[in-house]
Amino acid sequence: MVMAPRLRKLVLTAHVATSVGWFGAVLAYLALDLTAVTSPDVALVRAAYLAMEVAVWTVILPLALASVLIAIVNALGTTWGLFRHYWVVAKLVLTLFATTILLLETRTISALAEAAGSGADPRELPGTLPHSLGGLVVLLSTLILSVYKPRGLTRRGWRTQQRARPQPQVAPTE
Amino acid sequence: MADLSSDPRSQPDADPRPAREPTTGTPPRVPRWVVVSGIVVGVLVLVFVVLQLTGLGGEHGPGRHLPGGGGPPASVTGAHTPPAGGH
Repeated sequence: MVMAPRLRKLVLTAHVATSVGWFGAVLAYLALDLTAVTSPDVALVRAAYLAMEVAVWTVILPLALASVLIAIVNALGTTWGLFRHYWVVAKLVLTLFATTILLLETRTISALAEAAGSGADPRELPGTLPHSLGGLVVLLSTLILSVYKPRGLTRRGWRTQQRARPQPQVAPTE
Repeated sequence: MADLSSDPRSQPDADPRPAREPTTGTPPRVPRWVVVSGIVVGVLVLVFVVLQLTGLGGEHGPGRHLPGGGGPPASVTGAHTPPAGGH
């Protein structure tokens, strides 16, 4: 079902806000992660781990979940569809993958914050750089897909387009 | 009169609707960028699996930092391991 123009713009605004917000939040998280791994200052490293946990639970995770839901609504409510174009499918797969890894990683981040806040030296903790860098690459890929929208219809999209074509008029025999 | 050509909303790229792609009687082939991306992802997954199987990539998984899951060093968590002979 295609949304009315006003509703479509509202959903699109929410889609851009949550997606770009997620990207920005991961950038901020990466700065904290880098600080936690490289800083020699014990108090700063401890604070970074605690801030990482707060950022993940209060900003990154809610934005990620909202982004997935709103993206699906946005795709289904426009003529782009969810499975008609390869770039939309690729974005959906990447977003779901990033969200799944994020959901799994939250336990690790909470454990790290708990360990860092325990009073011992938090500089021996490993940080989460591979995941935060990987997440950033995935989100950057979805951003590029959204802007460039590379061509390519899926079989489903092709069938939908064929059905939407006006049928040729059959000339009367008499 | 306003110059509509400078208005981004008047540009075709700003059209929220997808451009109708040329279709023939047969389904379209998978685009090259999808094939290349698929190969790249496949190679990355393969490298990851090989690293995990060989142990070269170190421990991985959500439980690696949790208690009992190869967690942080004991010096960080404050966990105390008694000596082999006991106290």
